[in-house]
Amino acid sequence: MIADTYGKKSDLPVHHGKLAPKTPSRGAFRRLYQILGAIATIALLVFYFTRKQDLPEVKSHEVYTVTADGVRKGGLDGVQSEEDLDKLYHSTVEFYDLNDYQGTHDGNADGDVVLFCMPLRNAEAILPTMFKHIMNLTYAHEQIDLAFLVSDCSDDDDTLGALFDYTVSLQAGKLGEKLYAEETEAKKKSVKGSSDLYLNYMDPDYVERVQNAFQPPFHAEYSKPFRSVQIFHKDFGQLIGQGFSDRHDVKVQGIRRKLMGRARNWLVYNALKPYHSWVYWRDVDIEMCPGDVIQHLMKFNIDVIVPNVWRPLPEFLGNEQPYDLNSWIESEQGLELAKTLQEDDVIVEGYAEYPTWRAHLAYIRTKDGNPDELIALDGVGGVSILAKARVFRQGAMFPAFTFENHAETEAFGKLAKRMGFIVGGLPHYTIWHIYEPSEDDLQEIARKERKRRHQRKGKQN
Amino acid sequence: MVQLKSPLLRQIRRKPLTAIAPITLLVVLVFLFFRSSGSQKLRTYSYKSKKSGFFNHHRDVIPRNLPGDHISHYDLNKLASTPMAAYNKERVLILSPMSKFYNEYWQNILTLTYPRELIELGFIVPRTAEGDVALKKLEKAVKQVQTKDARFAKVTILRQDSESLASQKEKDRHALKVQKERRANMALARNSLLFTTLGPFTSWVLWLDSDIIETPHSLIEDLVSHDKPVISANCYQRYYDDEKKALSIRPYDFNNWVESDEGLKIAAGLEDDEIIVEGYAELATYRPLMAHFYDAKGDINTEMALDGVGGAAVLVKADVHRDGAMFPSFPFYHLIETEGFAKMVKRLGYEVFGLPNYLVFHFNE
Repeated sequence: MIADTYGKKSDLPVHHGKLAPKTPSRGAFRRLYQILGAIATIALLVFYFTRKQDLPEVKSHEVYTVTADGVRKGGLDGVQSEEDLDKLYHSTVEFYDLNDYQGTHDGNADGDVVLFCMPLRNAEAILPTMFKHIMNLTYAHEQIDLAFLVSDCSDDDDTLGALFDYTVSLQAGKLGEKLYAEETEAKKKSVKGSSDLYLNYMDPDYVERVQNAFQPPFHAEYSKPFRSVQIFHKDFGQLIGQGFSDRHDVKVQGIRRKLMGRARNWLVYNALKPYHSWVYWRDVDIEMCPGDVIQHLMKFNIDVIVPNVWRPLPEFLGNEQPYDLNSWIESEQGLELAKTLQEDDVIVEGYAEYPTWRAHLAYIRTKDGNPDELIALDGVGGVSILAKARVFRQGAMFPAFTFENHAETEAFGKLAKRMGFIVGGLPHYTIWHIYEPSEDDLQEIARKERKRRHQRKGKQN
Repeated sequence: MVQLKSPLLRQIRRKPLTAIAPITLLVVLVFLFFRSSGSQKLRTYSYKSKKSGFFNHHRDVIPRNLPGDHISHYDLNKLASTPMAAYNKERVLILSPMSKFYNEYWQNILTLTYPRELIELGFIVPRTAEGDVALKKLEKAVKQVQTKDARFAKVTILRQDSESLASQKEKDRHALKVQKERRANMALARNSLLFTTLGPFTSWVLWLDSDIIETPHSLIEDLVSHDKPVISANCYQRYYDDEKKALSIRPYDFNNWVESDEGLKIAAGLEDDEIIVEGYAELATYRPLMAHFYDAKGDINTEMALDGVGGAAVLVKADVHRDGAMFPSFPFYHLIETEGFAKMVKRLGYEVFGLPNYLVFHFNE
């Protein structure tokens, strides 16, 4: 359209009024831009002051979460995915169906985890032998949890320190070599004919068997590390000595057994977990024991089972002797005797003060008897007990008080029977305790030795 | 041509590209405001096979949470149970045999003021249909808490392995002849729970029944402050009194008592495998029951020596359990379960106490 051109022909746009330079946003967009500008300013201010640091800019640090299961990126607040929630949940929550951990007759193959419990006191000298026995176990090492309780050691005994050293080597697979090195060094240094003089008076066959017992070749998994090792240290304040004569005085037996019961309970209750199927109790001072002892005891699949425990003697005393008299079958006389005693009196076997006329597992043994013969027992000794974990879970323990006039392991046997468990023993399957000469024995040996040397001197002259 | 009224629209129609700037600005602002944070998938580093599901029967032979060579050393000489428990960072293990899950019970646990990182929980459910229902509800409740920041140090849930009674309804539960069997079963559950969860870090064990729905928030601190080997609170029940037309309370747990001559006489005349249970007219023991010693105006810290305890809310020093105090499932001095436990505690040389004026409340059906 042609505007007013003052009569001239033109196709240029002509505006009414004066010609003025074009002002930008002449009302059209001004309002819009004003509003947007205000919004933008407010938004940026709000944004700046309230937002967290998740702008897509260069990060000054990275956050990682480190758990026993590994390393992952992100902090705990960042946990959102199902997998992470699951991991977090499982890191503190555990579920166990106790029916899965009842134990079977072939636990080795079925994956049963055994809790190996051993109370220790002033045992530094015998630890090497003990560890050889432990390594010699043929039950799968990755299914055995070792648990030790070290208590009330005297000042000159460093059981705890030695235990630490040996277990570190054990779990590194180097203990066999370490013990061999220690032994060879000890042999070089030792003075012959002093503390092991009594060996000359023992049955030479037996001595040879002991010396050959831990010679290579060992079984395939001898040096394999164990599932875990737990070392507990607790001093109960025991006032009784650990020498043979001190231990075996009848008057202190009751007190001593109750303290030992207490130590055993502390050990098993701190170490027992829901996934254990079996608990194997072992004393430290065993000299000879088969490597498949756990499997042999387990195959009977009963609640509490013990082998027979004997010890060797010098030839002049008869070569061998029943050692553990705590495994027995209750007798009428025993029950009658208990009725005459006070509530806190503890009956101890093998002493004339308490005539119980019980049948002891130790005396039932015959040398060539069937090692699979099983008999029912009432009291058990603590040298080598295999019990189902269920027995301890349901409350059976080693009473540290007088229970039916017994304490510790014999009371444990009685308690287990009371609770309906089956308690048995193998009379012809024997393990051998070490021989510690008593005062009388040492005097006798000294006398014989003097006589022998006197005779030899006489011959020389 | 349509003359558009608004100058803005006219400008857009004439020069469409000029509208890009403001629109882009709007889009950028929206993007910055509403972009959700943390939506990226976190890459996780995992060296272990993932366990899935709750009822996972896979035998996990690999130990969790152990140092590299799997050797742990615990100096139990340093473990103590003192009245300043929270200050000394002593761990408390709260154990509850659970046959039915009450939401109020769980809420009550969550309101306890004792530091949560020092509390471990342990539950055992029976092998019944009811137990399975409780297990599902418990798992759900635990998951809510254990996947957030204020977590308990550890939660262990066990499924019992012995036979348990099918019916746990209140009326059936209290028939006298069934008591012995039921309490024996409870004793086995308690022992199974206790001895598998008790560990070298535990200083105190709090037995809290799963149907205790209301306790003071400072329950643990209060009980711990008395510094006793075994101490029991008084268990009452809230109910609506129809006569007075008002909420009232009445005693519920009668297992907290002091031995009486009459009780000893009855015990002497019983067979070896018979037990005495409180609260039944057939066996009148005339024992002073702590339930009747409640004084609304009395000092809540009043202590009384007891011979028998119930399991409603009992705090035990862990060392007492470690010495061998357990819940006998067989007649032990003609007592069973929690009362037998009190007797065993005394045989071990410890004393048992109760707080008659300190109330915890049982569920009312």
